[in-house]
Order: sequence, then structure tokens, then C-alpha cells
Amino acid sequence: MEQRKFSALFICLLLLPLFSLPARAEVSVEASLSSHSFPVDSAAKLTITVTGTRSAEIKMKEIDGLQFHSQGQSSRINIINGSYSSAISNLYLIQPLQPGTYTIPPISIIAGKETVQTEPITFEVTAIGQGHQSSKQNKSTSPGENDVAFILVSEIDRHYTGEIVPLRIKAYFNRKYQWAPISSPPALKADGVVMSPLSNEPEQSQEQLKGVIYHVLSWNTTLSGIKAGRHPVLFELDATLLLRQQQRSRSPFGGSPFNDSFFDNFFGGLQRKPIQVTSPELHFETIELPDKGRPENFTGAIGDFQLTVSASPKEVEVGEPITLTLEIAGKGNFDRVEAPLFPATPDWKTYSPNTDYSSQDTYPFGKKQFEQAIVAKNSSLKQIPSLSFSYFDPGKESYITVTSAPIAVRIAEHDSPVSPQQSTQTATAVKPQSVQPAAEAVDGIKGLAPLHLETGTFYQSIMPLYKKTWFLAGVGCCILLLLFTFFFRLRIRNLEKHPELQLQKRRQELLAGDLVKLSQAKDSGDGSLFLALCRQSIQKQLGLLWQVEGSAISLADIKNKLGDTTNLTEIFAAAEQAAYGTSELSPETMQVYFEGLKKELEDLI
Amino acid sequence: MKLTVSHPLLLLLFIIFHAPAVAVAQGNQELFEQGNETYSKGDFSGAAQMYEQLTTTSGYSAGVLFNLANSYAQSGQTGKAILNYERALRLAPSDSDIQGNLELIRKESGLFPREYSWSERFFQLLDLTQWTISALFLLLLLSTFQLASLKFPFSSRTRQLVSTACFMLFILCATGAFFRHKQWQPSVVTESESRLLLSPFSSAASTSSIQQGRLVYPEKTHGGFNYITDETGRRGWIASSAIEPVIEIKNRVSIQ
Repeated sequence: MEQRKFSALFICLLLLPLFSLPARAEVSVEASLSSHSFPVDSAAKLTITVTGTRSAEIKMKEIDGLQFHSQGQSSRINIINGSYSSAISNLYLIQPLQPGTYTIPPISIIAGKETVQTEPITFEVTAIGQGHQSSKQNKSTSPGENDVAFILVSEIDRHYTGEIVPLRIKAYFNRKYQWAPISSPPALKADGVVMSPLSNEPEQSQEQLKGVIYHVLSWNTTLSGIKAGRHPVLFELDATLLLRQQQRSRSPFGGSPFNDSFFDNFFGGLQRKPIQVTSPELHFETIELPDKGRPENFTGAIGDFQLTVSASPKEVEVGEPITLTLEIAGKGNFDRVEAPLFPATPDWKTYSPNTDYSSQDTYPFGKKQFEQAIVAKNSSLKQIPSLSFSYFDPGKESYITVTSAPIAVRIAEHDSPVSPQQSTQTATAVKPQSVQPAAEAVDGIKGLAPLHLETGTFYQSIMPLYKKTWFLAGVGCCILLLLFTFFFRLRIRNLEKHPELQLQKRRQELLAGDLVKLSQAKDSGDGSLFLALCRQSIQKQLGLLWQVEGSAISLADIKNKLGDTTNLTEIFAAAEQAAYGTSELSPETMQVYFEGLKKELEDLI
Repeated sequence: MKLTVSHPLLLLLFIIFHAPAVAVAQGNQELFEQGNETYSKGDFSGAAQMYEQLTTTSGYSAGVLFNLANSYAQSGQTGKAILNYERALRLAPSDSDIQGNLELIRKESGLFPREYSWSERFFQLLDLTQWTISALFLLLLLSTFQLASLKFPFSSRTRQLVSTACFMLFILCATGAFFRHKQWQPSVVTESESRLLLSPFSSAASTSSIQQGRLVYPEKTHGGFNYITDETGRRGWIASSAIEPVIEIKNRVSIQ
């Protein structure tokens, strides 16, 4: 019984909200904008909250110069002391297309039979530059909640020209937005300043600034001033903001099942909006190195360095090379670190050193190593002289010269004098790559081939062979010859491929010869000969045409194939008759026959 | 009668037209011998001046350039010596004295070349003239064979084989000539303590020093500076006054 009572009470409690529905609160709406002034390359959030209903239809209006991107909907139900209330929040991202002052007019919301409207909202969209200027000021010190992305760089003090200044660049991207991967590191916009290349794989981390979580990309680099002065320095980075495409207005509970942000992403409903992220403008001040106290062997090295010198082997014979290893390690501009000059002395022959630079993980720390071949010229030498290296220490603001200690060596006399070639060949084992001037041999070179006694031919200028006339003429002749043979061979091949052309040519030649003979016979007035030649000519031409022996062609064959009424038949009949009897032809008849024969045979060809 | 008059006339004309040339040739020979004599006395700078004078007035000759280079080599001017050996080598590519001295001075001065790839080493087997002559010979052989094949009935296989071989070898020689031509017109660093700079102005940062006698290949010019690549592959700007081209472009009076 008790159990029944408890069950009835529980059911009543469950049904209580349903009975209280008619007593729900009045429908109201509120619209709020996250920022009332923002740059055109940024966006603001519009939140429309409808309370007192579980479903509402929002009638968004189109506004020139603005795009609304739906960011989704959330709903909330409160039951307090039996009093039921519900609220729906719709979030929109407003993306401006151009600067200006905009007013979002009252937005109508239909909830059941009720229609409510929001208050109009006015806001300002500033230009990119203005936006950046204002944001730069914020970004340099305290980025605000509305910062989409910005760059911060470490402090730069005053430095010397050529000094390597470490710098850390950090690009912040607000996690509230979606970003496409960046395609290139930040670019330096400055004159008189050079920056070491930035890595394409920056450090990645997350930082929270003023309650906003940012995705942070960091680069470690160095700056160096190439001329004295106060240089404005700015960093720019191209990024791409991914914005959702504008969707049709949603009904919280009805409508298409695809009305979900998941499908916006899944079906590529993202618009790419390129933006340029800039750093606040810094000033990099560089000053010239002092002239006072500048050592003669100073090559421009600025930093803090140590010099180590070693030699191997230390026991050699005169003429044998010794490899001198000079190592300069420390922190600074290694591009201007050069090998210490070996003292110019007639006792030693020196070769250009080769260089090997290795940087450490923490730039600008590094080590530059030089290997130099030196050759002792006499056995009285007891030590390799000390070498000096000078640099400017910006911390101490003075030039420092470090000097190595002399290295003791034992030079033995060589049995036979060493030729320059031999010594050089041995020294080649060091594989020097010249970066530093070796001591010049001012005392001449032994072993040179003697002077020439004939001047030889004088030339106006030195020109390569291919520019000489005879060479060009030779090449031209060869090319012409090749072209000639090519076209000749082409013609032969063409004739071989088309034998009828060859036959036609032969017939034309035969006819031309026959016509000459006929003309001569006609002119001589010899009718019998003329007709005999006509008969031969017809037989030859028709024989070639019909592919039969010409002499075997009779009048009957011609009549069969050409008919009775052709000129050829008539002339051939007259010729046959003349061959077996006598026939007198007048010159006029011969002329008529000649022209008729010529025309007919030419037509046949 | 006419014949007896014309003989002296022709002789006179011959003397008039050839006398200056003969006189200049004699003067050249005298100056050349004088230079040789000065060199043998150990006055290398004086000898170099005489050979330079000869080159300026009469043009280039392998003998004069070789002796000039020797004079510079003996007076310690490695850059100038290498410049003139290179010039002499272009006029007489197969002269073993020039090749030997150039190799010696480069070794003595520590001007070691970079490591070459096998293909580069192959194309360096012959110089530009030899590759060019070989290419011409093969072209001539190809065209002559083609012409002969019109007259003589070679088999199709023979004709194809010979033509293809000639053509392929011609392409090889032309490639060799092209490769060597890229190295035909270098400049030589003639100033000691020259430096490669990052930018074309004198106060620019130096990347490294470049030794006197290095062959460099200028790519562009800005103001008084040339952007060059040296034979070891280094790049940078160098003062135009610090380098001299091996092939000089200037008008000269030709004396044969």
C-alpha cells in the first residue's frame, strides 16, 4: 500500500511540468554583439537568446555589406520550485565585407503564436590598417578577448652593426576560430636589417592570455644590422581563417537532419578568408663599431670567442707539410670570422686554409674550424709562431685580441731537396678550399718552363674556334650537304613508293621524243614516215598504259578499248592502211593528225 | 717597254704597302727580345712592362702572353700570371709549357680546384677547341657518308649504324663544347686581399676573402661591383677593379 502511494507521488512529480506548461513565462528575446567596433578583416559574434519557449523561428534579414554565418544553437531548461522556463540561444558570426557603420535592424522571432523582435544594434567596422593600428597597440602589451591573431616579438635593444641579435617571434592564433595551416613563416619588413632564415617547422604550444586560449607558433632567429641607424622593423604573416558558410535559418527541433554544424564541416561548408597578421612596429637601433683600438687583423667578428690552435704532426722533415688546426668557438657572427693570418715569414710556406663551420643548437653559438697546411723551409725552426684573432666584445664594448701559444715542433733536415710539386702534392691531402689569402710567394716560383723565344702570331682578339669564319663555313657546308642528301633521298623514296609517277615520267619523256620526230617528219612532208611514226608512238604509249607489249597492239584492240570515233583510232587506222599500201598525206592533214595525236596522247598521260 | 717599267713599279708598291707591317713586326721582335733579356737579368717587373706594351700595341700572341705570365709569376703577382697563362692557353690550347706553368703556379699558390663530378672530369678531358673540332669532324663525316650513300649502295643496316654513331658522337662533342664554353670566359682575381661581399657596396658585410688568381664567373654588374661565382662555387659581390676578364673585348690593330 505504501509502495503504491510512493509510485503515485513519483508520477505526479514527473507530470508536474506538463501541468505547469500553461503557466510558463512570457516569451522574450535579447540580441547582443561581442564587439561594437572591429576591423574589416575580423568578425563579431551575434547572440540571440529567446526565453520562454522551446522552439522559435528566427527571421534573419539580409544586410548589405554583412554576411551572417550560423554557428549553432543551444537550449536551456530550468525548473525552479516547480516553475518551468526554457531558453534558446542562436549564435551567428558577422563577417563584414567593407568598413562602415552598420545597424542590424530588429529581428523577428516567431515562437508559437507569438512574434517578438530584438532591439536594433549599431556597430562600426574599421579599415584593416586602422584596425591593425589599434590592435597593434593592444597586441604589443595586452591582447584582448577579441584578438583573432597577432604577433609578439622579444625586446630589441641598441646593438652594433654586424652584431648577431637573438630574437624570438611568436604568432598567436585564437583557438575560438578555425585556421588553415600557414604556408610560410613570418616575413621581415625592414631596411638595413637582415634576418637569418626562419624554420618551416616552428615550435607549437598553447598559451592563455587574459582568459583567451591561443595556439602559438614560435620561431627563434637572429637579426643583424648592416648599416648604422634606427631601423623600423615589422613582421608579417599570411594566415587563413576558416569561416562557416551561411546556412538557412534553423528550427530547433524540426527541419532537415542536416541542419547540424557537423555537416557544415563534413560537406566542406567552410569559407577561406585570408588575413595578414602583423607585429607591432619595433625599432632596431644599430651603431658603428668604434674606430678607437681597432686591431689591424680585425675582420668584423662581434661576440665572444675562444681560439685554439693545434698542429699535427709535430716532427717532420724540411718540405713536409704540417696541418695546422685553428678552432674559433663561441657566440657571435661567425660569417665574419676568418682564419687568423699566419705571420709572413720566409721560414714557412703556407697554403690557403679550408673552413668548416658547425653551429650548435642554441644559435648564435658555434664553432668554426680552419685547417691550413704549412711547410717548414729549414731545419732550424723550433716552433710554429703564435697566431692572433681579434673580435669586438659588445658586452665589454671593446676589441679583444686572443693569441695562441707557439707550438714546439722538430724539423729534421731532408736528404734530398723537395721540389715544389712534391710538397704541393703532399699538402693537397689537406684538401684546402681557399677562403683566406695564403702568404704570397714574392720570391718567384721555381720550376717554371723557360721563356718562349718566338712571339708567334698576333691576333686582334681571342675568340673561340666556333666563331671563326672557316669553322662557320665548314659547318654551313656540312649542313647544306646533309639537307641535300636528305631531300634527294626523300625524292627517291617518294618515287619508289609511287611507281606510277615514274611510269608517267617515262611516258612523258617518250612522248616528247616521239613528238619531235613527228614534227620533223611533218616538216619534211614525208607522209609515210609520219604515219609510221604515229603508229609507233600510239603503240608505245598505249602499251605502257595497258601494261602490254606495244607492238602487239592492233587496230581492233584500240577500237575495243577506245571506240571507233577517237582521233587515235582514226590516225592508227590511216597508219595501218599506209603500212600495207601507199598513202599520201597533205601537209594540212599531217598537221591535223599531229595536233590530234598530241592532244589525245597527252590526255592519256 | 711596258714590262720593263711595270716591274720596278710593282716592287715599289709592294714596298710601300708592306714596309710599315715589316717595320712593326721587326719592332715587335726587338721589344720581345728586349723583354726576354730583361727577364733573364732578373728584372721581372721591367720585362712584364715590355710584354704588356707589346700586347697593348700589337695584340695577343701565345709567346708574348706566356712570357708575360712568367714575368708576373716570378714577381709574385699570381693573379696577373694566371690571367695571362689562361689567355695564352686559349691561343695555344695544346702548349704543354703553358699548361705546366699554369698548373705549377696554381699549386704553388694553393689554388686548388673543387672536387669535380665524373661527368665534369670527362668533359675536361678535351678543351673547347678540341671538342669543337671533333664535333665539326663528325658532322663532316656524317654528311660525307650520307652523300656517299647516294652513290654507293650501302645496306640499310650499315647506313643506320654509321649515321647513328656519327650523330651520337656529334651530340657528345657538342655537349662537351657547350660545357667547356661555360668555362671559356672567366675572369681572374688580380688584386690581393679581395673580399666577397653580401651586397654591392663597399661597406657591405664580407662573406669571405677570395684569393688572388681565383677564376670567377661574373653574372651581373651593379655600380662598381660584379656578382660572381668562383671556381669553388662560392658566390658574392666583388669590386670590378679586383677582377680582369680573360677574354678582353677591345679593338686592336691587327698585325699578322
